[in-house]
Amino acid sequence: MKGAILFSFGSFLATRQALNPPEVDPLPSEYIDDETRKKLRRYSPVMVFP
Amino acid sequence: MNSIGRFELSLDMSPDYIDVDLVVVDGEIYASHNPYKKVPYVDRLIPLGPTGPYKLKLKEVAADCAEAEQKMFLDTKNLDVEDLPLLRGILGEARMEEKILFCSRNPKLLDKIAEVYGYDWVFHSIPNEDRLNDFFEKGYRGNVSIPERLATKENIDALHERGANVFVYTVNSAQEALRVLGVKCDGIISENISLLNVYPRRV
Repeated sequence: MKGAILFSFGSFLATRQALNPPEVDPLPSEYIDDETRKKLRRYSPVMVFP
Repeated sequence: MNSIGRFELSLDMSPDYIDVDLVVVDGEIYASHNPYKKVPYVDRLIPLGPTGPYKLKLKEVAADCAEAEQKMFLDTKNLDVEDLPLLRGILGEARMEEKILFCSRNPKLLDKIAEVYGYDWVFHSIPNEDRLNDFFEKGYRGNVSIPERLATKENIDALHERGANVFVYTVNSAQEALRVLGVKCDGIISENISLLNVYPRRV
C-alpha cells in the first residue's frame, strides 16, 4: 500500500513537471585546467549548442 | 534549445550553431526539443500547450538569430516533405537561408532539402550502427551527426572518405571532446558551457 501511495505521488510530480517544464534546464560545466585547455585548442571544431 | 531561457543563453554563448528542433502544429513551425510528453495514467502523448515549448515560434527564433548573426542547426525530424515550403518561407523572410544546417533521420526529406540548398548543408542524424550501415550501403549523400559511442577512428575515416563531415553528440566533458577530436571529428554538439568557452565563435 505504501508503494502505491509513493507511486501516485511520483506520478503527480511527473505530470506537473511535464505540464510546467523548467525554463532553463541545468547545464553541465566543469573546471578545465590549462593543460587540457591547451590540448583542446589544438583543434578547431565546429561547436553546436543544443 | 527547448525554452526561451535556453534560447537566450544560446545567443549569449555564441556557438557556431545553435541546435533547434522543429515541430509543426496547426500550420505553424515551433522550436521545440520535446513537444509531447507521456503522462502517467494517460495512454497517449499530450501536447505541453501554451506554457510549454510551443511558445517559441521559429519565425521569432529566426529573426532573433538573424539580428545576432547566429547560425542554426535545424533538426527537422518532426517535419514532412510537405512542410518544406513553410520552412523555406520562414527562413527566407528572416534572411537566414544561407545560415542553416539541416539535420534529420529521414533521408527522403534531406534529399528534398538538398535539391534546394545542396548536400553540403544536410546532416543525416545517425543514432545507431544499423543506420550507419544504411548510410554506406544505400549511398546516402551529405554529412552525418553520430553519437559519441559511434565516433571511432574507423567510422570517421570511412565517413570522411565518403566526403561527409562528422558532428558528434552529445559531448559534455573535456576528456570526451579530446577523444573525439583526436579521431578527427569535424564538429562537437555540446551543452557544456565550459567547453563552449574554449572555442569562442569564429565569425
